[in-house]
Amino acid sequence: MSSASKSELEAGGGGAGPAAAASSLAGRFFNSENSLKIGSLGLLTILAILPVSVFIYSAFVTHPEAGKSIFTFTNFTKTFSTSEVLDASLNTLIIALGTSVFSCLVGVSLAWFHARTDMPFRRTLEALTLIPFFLSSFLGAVAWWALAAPRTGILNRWMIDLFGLSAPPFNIYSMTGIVMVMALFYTPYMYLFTIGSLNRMDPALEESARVCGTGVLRTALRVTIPLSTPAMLSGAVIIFVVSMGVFGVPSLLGPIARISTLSTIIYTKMEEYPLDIGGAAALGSVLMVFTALGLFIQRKIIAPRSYVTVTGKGYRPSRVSLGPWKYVALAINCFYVLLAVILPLGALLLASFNRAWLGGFRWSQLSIYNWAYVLFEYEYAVRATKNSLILGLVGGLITVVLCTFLSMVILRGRNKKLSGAVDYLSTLPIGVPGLIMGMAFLITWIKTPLYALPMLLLMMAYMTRYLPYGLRTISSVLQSLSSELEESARICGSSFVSTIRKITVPLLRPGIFAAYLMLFIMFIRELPVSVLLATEDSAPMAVALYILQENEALGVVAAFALVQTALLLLGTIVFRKLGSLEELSV
Amino acid sequence: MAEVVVKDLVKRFGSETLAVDNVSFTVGEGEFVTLLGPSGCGKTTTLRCIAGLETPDEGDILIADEVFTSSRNGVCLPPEKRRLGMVFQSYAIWPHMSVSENVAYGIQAQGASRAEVSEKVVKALELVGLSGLGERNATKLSGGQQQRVSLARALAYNPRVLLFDEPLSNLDAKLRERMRVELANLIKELKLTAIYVTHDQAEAMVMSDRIIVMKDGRIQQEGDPHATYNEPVNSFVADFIGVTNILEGKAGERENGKGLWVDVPSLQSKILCAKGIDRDIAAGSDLLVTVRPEYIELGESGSNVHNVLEGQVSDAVYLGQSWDCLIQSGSFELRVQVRGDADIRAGQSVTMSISPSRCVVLSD
Repeated sequence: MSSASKSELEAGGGGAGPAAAASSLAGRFFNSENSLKIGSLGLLTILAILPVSVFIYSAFVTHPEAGKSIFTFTNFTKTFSTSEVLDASLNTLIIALGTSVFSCLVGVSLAWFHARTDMPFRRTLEALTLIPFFLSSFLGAVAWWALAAPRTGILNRWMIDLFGLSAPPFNIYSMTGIVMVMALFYTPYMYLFTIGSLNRMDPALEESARVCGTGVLRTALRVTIPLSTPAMLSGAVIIFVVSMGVFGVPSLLGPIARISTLSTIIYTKMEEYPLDIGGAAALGSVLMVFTALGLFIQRKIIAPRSYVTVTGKGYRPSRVSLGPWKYVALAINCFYVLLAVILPLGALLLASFNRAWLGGFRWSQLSIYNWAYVLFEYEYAVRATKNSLILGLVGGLITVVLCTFLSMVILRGRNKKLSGAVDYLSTLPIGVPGLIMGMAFLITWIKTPLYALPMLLLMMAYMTRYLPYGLRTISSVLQSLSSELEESARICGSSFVSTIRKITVPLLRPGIFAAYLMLFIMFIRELPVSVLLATEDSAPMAVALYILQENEALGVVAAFALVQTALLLLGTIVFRKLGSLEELSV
Repeated sequence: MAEVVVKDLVKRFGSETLAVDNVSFTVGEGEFVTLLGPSGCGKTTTLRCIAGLETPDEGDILIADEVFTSSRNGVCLPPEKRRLGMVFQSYAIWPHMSVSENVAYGIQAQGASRAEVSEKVVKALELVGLSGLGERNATKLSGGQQQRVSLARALAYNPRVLLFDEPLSNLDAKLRERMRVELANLIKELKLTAIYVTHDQAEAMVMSDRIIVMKDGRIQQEGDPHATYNEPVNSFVADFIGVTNILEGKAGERENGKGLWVDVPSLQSKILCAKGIDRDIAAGSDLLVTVRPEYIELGESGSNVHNVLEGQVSDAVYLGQSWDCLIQSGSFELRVQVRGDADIRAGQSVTMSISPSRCVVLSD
């Protein structure tokens, strides 16, 4: 922006005519477009920058006496000198590493089977393989707790009865258990990360390797997989940082085996006496730095190196014929579906239909009591369901409106510097783990009137935390729309705002619907942001499930978990229906 | 009266790239001016600055004496306030609207009454030859028809100036040639002022009253198609517009009223040049001369006592209406176009002559 001094402005204004006088420099800067951009910057500052700053600030402050604050590093030195935290840090790293390695191995193999081979039943299996993506790892933990808790687990009981074992063979209360549940539920993420690049790869690259005399497996290992390495590394890094911050799985499966992670310790410091906000914030800051670092590496170093270029031509790559090995691939995929979908959901289903659970399903105990109880009678559960629906439907709607608005502010209009700033601010929350976002909102707003409106606060926190995801969905559609469509409307005489209303939004509709459903799904399953922020009255479903799991019979927990699952699957089905619609319309 | 005035326009992208470097020109009322140049020459950026889609870093843009952009005063009218019409390369037809709705959009934005809107839509569609297609889904039309919708939309609300950003480059060759003539005729008929951007020199020649050739953000030459073709100022313009021979030489003496002698070592000959010599050229200085292939005549025609060259045909490609020949003369291979009915074969020895008025000394 050139800065004409006032005298220049007046001197030049004389000969320039009435139009020039009407739009002075100030007028030029504060046009509708720039006001919108500055408004969004302000909003993002309140939503994201303020809480995260308060959070970081509190990591560097102690309160030796009431009303006094000292700037210090004590929170860090004190917290990280305890063996508990050192153990937890190590556990966090092991869990994150294990999760990303295993989900990478399984996810990449499955993606290769689906994208490049002639494995049978691909369509059906793809739908099943992706189910965990739409559920949550916490639901998986609840289900696997029902399956493989040492004494009460259904699988353990079956194995003991079937083979006459003296001790239960599985123990989900273990590092292995935690990593397994996490890996099962993050495998679809890896699958989705890789399958795009495998689908788009020019088949000639593989075919030339085959012509050069390498076999199927060698070609896959030497050509196909290396070509998708950037996509895979991206996926692995993202899964690594996300699982570092995961709260639900370790908090459910860890305590009995005395396994704690950074996130469970943060929770403990915030929920149990004596409160240690400074310590929790110090831990959280470290976690946040690692998350941000990982994402930075992914976005700036790995992702730009992708070899795969999207070609405009929609060719179908030819598939590799696996011969009899295709049944091995089929078996691997089925085994995954068994562990990640059928066993967990089956166990919950069985348990939910027995009033009293005695380690196994009994027809004599068949009852819909649990379902009736969690759906209609149990006030806490009913309220949680309502809360989640409100958050999902209303919160999702508000978020998607904000995302649409922001994506236009970022991608369209002429002031690229302001756009860049808005883009930067709205991507920041991706580096803040959910638990930390929740804590940041809590300590920022606890002493304000806003805290009296816990649902609103939750909604704001959700909006902030999941903004980047909705934004990405809408932005990708907006990017595919030629900006000439909007420019021609501007030239025809319609303003920035009315162009958005009449041209951009109608054209973006499929993307907006997809983002809304995705946000609905994310909000319905949300645990980490809510777990510190929700009050008893405002607890959403995942928090209620967390509480129920500690206090209620398995049947009740299972029925409630399935209500949540049903909502998520319903959202998913609509999402996939619309997803195919979207493909048709482009 | 100058309808469009562009003065000292500068546009940078980032800190390094200078997309438009001090460009000034005017377009008279009812004039058809083409900005011509290779991709990245700044022609589209210039057009977008006029449209108000880009904010220039420096310079003024006035249309009908109204200041649209003036960096000095910090004025930059948003595009919707400029009342211009623009046709884009991608046509930018809104897929969620019918043909009529597309065309009506700009008229509605001017706040016209319903009756006025539908009357103007019908008129605009009639002008571009799409009467009766108003209710169609615009994206279901063929490329040529979409192009017409886009034109109708730009015409419909009587814009002050029509801007075209390579509007024909997405059409196939046959259709493109037809549309050139049709579009140029329509604009003349409606007496519209038009600024047209293209990289296709044939398009520029056919359609324009005046061509502005650009390269690297700067204007290279400005003139009517005839002058631009026959008297290019530098080797870029000579080479970009049409096919040409560019000869390296040294300035010799001036021959009064006839031209400048240029010593061309590669042809082992001296050439008398009558064009491009209205400036001081020191004797002995290095310079370039351009000669178009079609101006090199075969045989010893009586009128050309100067510039007679001997050569041997090294290659001749028959194109139907003409022969495209390469003729070795000295150490230089001249490109020569010969009428199709001539009898010519590779290896043949020929005598060539060039009229001094066809030999243009370039400024670089």
